[in-house]
Amino acid sequence: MGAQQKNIYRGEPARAWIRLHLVSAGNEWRECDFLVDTGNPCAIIVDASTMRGFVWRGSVSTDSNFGALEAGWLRLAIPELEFDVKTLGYASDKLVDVVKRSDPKFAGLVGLPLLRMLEYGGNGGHFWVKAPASG
Amino acid sequence: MTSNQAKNQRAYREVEAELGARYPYGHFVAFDGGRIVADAPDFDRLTEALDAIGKDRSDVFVVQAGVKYPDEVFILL
Repeated sequence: MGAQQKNIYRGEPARAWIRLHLVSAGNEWRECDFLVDTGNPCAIIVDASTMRGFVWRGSVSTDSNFGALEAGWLRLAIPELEFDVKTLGYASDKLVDVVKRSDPKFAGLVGLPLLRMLEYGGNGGHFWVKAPASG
Repeated sequence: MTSNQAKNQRAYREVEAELGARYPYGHFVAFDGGRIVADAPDFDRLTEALDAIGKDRSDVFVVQAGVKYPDEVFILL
């Protein structure tokens, strides 16, 4: 079996989550845990401060039921899976505040566009991600 | 959003429909000062192109040609 990241559900109520590295254009990095929501149409949502620290480029901001989402290209990595991408993310303090109600240590939210770059799944005890099968 | 970001987002919306015809789907296009300043087939080569013209900055605005960016999204938590 290939490498995987397997995490016990966490928070109140219990939520699926994954651990990512955010990597800046200056090659500084921060390890953060993100709540997983397969119904979220955005790859990743962080708070505004995190976006300012790690954004590589701007992009098309959008509106949401949580207010404005400021867009930015972010570099995300999961070293144990040799996963390293630059993808479009968004910033919303309001949304991250809601995520932190489940667990204050969550840094934000990841959604289906990010999960589709990996393989993912879960059972009664864990949520896991692993590198996509080649071919 | 800074004034440069707002200017670039407006410029993008004005040419959004044309980008899909001008570039292959998914091609990376960079805007600065309200105009297109570089393009490349992937993000890293776009960074090289921006660096070559002194615009390797985080406020440069990047989109992918042909990709539909929504005006609004709905998130349930």
